[in-house]
Amino acid sequence: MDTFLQDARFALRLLRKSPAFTLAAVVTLALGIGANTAIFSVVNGVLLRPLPYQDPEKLVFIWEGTPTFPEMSVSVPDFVDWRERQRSFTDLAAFRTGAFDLSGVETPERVGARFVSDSMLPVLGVQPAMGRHFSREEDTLGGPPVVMLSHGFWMRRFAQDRSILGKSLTLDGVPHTVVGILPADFQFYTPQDIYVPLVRSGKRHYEQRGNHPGLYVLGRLKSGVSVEQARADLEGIGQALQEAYPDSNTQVLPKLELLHEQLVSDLRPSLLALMAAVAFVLLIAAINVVNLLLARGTARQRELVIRASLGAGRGRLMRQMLVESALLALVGGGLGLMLALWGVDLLAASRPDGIPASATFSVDGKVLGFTLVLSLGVGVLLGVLPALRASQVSLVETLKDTGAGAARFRGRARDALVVAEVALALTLLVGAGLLTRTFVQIRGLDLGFRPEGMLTLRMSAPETRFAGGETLRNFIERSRERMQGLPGVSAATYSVGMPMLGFSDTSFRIVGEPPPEKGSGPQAAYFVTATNYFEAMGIPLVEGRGFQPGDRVGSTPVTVVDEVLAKRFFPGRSAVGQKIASGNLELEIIGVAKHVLAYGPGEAEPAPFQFYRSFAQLTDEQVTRAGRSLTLAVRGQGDADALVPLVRQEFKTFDPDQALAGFASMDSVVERALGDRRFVLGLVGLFAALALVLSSIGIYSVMSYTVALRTREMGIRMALGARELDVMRLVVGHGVRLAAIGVGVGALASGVLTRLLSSLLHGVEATDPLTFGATALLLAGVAVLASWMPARRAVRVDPVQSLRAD
Amino acid sequence: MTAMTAMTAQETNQMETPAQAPQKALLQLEGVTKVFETEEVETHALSDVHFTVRPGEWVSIVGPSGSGKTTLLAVLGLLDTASKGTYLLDGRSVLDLSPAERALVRNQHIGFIFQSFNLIGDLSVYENVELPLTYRGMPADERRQRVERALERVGMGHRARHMPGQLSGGQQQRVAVARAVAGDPLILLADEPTGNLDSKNGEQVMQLLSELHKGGATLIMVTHDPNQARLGTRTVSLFDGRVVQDERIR
Repeated sequence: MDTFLQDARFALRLLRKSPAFTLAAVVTLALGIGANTAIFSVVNGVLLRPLPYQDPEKLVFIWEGTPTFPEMSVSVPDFVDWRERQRSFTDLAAFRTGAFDLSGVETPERVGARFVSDSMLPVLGVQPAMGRHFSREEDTLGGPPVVMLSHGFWMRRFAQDRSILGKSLTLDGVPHTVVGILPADFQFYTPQDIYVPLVRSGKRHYEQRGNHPGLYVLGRLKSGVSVEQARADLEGIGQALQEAYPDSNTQVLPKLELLHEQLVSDLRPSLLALMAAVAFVLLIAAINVVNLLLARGTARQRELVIRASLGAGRGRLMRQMLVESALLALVGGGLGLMLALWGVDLLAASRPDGIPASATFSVDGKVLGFTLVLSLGVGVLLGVLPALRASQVSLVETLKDTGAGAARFRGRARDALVVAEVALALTLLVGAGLLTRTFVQIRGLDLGFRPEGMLTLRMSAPETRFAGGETLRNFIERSRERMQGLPGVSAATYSVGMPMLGFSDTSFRIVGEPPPEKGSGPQAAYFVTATNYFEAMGIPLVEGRGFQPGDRVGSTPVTVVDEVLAKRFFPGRSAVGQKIASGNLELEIIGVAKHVLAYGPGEAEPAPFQFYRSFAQLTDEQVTRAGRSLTLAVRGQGDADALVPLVRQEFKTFDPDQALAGFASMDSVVERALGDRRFVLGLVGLFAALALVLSSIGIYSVMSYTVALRTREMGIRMALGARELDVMRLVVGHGVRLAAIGVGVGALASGVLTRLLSSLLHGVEATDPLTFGATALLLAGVAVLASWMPARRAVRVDPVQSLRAD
Repeated sequence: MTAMTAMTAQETNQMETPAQAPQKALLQLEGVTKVFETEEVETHALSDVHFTVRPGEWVSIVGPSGSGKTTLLAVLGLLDTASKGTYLLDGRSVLDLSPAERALVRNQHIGFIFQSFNLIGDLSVYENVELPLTYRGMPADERRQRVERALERVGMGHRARHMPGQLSGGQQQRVAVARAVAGDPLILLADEPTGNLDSKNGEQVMQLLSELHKGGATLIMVTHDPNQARLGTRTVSLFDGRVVQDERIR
């Protein structure tokens, strides 16, 4: 221990003695370790930290699926049956998202709501901050209407008034008693203002087994029950339901996975790519510091010889070097941690929507431990080469001052480090290049509609205000006309379902063709729209016509399908005049519209086809079901956000009780849809730039150091007749040769590693030759530049001076 | 430059003895001065040096430390430029050449032998000897023949694949001599060639230089050792940058 402390004291003294070296090494390491710590805090928050619920490892997420549509929401009657028959869970809970008009207050508001079964909070193991959770009776048809408030909503609307418990809120015109306040730190998927019993989402959901209304289920595994056992249990029930309800449940089976897995599985590739990118940055940073240490080691050769001649063994010398590098890494790690604290705040401020609300970015014990282990690991990594070099100190050679063997070892080691650095930088740059090309491709995709100048907002029409279909239809149409008449507005339309803002999907079949097996019909995104929808949204019709005023209740039910559906099911012939059927309703195709990127640019499309119905053709009964919540779209001449006050004022004038919510320009909706990609690309791009700068510095410093070491050699060469060009060629050639080997190694490594990025790429192959070629050229250019500067110094070598320097 | 190259080949082929050497000057310095200027001081390393060397001569340059021996050798070898004066090498003025032209002259007409051998540690014996020929742009076959001949001449043919670090000092200096003569230069410049060697190895190197001289080589050697100086045909003594004595020995 004594000798260890002695080593540490000596190391500290050395670091103080060479402030420039210490500063360069510490800052380089701090950048690498800091970036790793910051990204690890995200990985920790999202992938590693347990969900903020009781025994989260026992929580599973359950949905339904068929072979052709493997990810469907759950039908309410199926959920009720599962809950009754299952044996693997302490209980099941279901939830779906909705909205209510809050009225009877000074400012009516459309509030976000989560419909949850009475079992929801018990399954999560969450206790209300105040009051209680829902009773079974309250979640039964005919039960008393009750509501729980989120902590944020309680603060915002009621200033944390504790007396709100027991009071009544009017939601969609119905008084609801406030029975509880959720905890401040409660997070569950997207935050909602209020929680209401599942039964409040409507009786019809309990009656239609074939309807999958965006409901998902959570289960808490009983002790000793595995996920596989629970899956078998639920599948058994699912098979029984298939037999009992062949019309609705053929091929439908429950599917489940751990809740944590469901929340993070989509993010895992991005986060692991980020972690890999930042690890590469650290490796490059470490290589630069190893180079500094090797260069410094040359100057310390004599000190090591003296130590050895005084009896220090190889192990002792190696330990001395390792203690020094570990100390350096720990100081770098400490500074890196400070950088990371700042970086974590930045990351939290720019977190994309795709990261679950339950995930928090912070520096906790695990992150601190990671930083400590990382720093020590880097310390050992840094020390290995200098320690090996120290262990090879030859007393005779050094005292004779030839040191040819050690010089060759150092030269080869430095060359190998440059090669590694270039290879790492290339891999990272290729990754960033592929993601950039993906982003550019996605940005350039034709959305299928024009988002410019378009403002969207959610509008609701509760039964208490518009009881019948006719009044509801009139209100919606009047709203559209009022918006259309606003100054600066070129078009206004509405739709049940809107690209990137949510829509239903449904199965369909082609009339006149053999019906597909139950549960295996093709799935389409389904929109019910105003007559002027296609013109107002800027969706081109590639064939036939859009909806017209003549398409009304009583006329032939018609539909407009997208070009993907038309090409797939009516290849080589016109789709217009053909019929598709959804449920029992047959629809005649009157037009073919351009395909719209409804899930967002570059996103997978679980329902690959699209069809539209005219809102005007819905029966009164259908209008009261479908038309209670829809999206209004208003297109202005310029900035869409400038329309918000106009729209609000207009509604205030003609219907002051109308609650409006979700104002968003379509441009911002598109940008938000790109948020996850931008987040990953921004960080990978940043790390790639850092890698490029660090590796340029690395090549430059190695070439500079090599030139300094080879001054005498340059003198000899010049004495023997080498011209400036020969010397330049020698130095630059050396740098370029190393870079070329690095590029080759990096290209091979990238060829393998970038395949891991495949799930993040769109419209570009993981082996895209353009990206590889451009990156290789860039690095070659950097290598030439980084070698050219030292080469210029080399040609200024005075042969007389260098040959005299014995 | 072509004329010089032709003459070199001719001289080598004729293998003339010093007695038969033509009287035309191979190297001629007239009033050469070399001044080193620092911010405050001007140091005259060479002052008005007049100096002629004829083909086949072996000139030993002697003098105390700081007398300007090494500076004179650097000027003669075009490693450094004179501040004033004229320098004719094989009849051609070489003081005003560009760096690239000087490099060419060094490469084609001058062979260097340094006190500390100055072999490149990362190149093999063969590659060290080959290096000046490579700069000359000589075809590989010819290079190979010349390198092999030069190494055989100094008795180091069997060590061609070795690295300098694997050789003794005497062997390294033999390789340096081979490198100097491989290109058949007009003149060999040796800066205390035995300074880093023990007496036995030193004697062997001097023996080698004598053999080269007998074979027709023109040598200019800086030395501190009067015994070695006497091996040459002429001794030039420097003091404070001036030639104070120019003595023909035989």
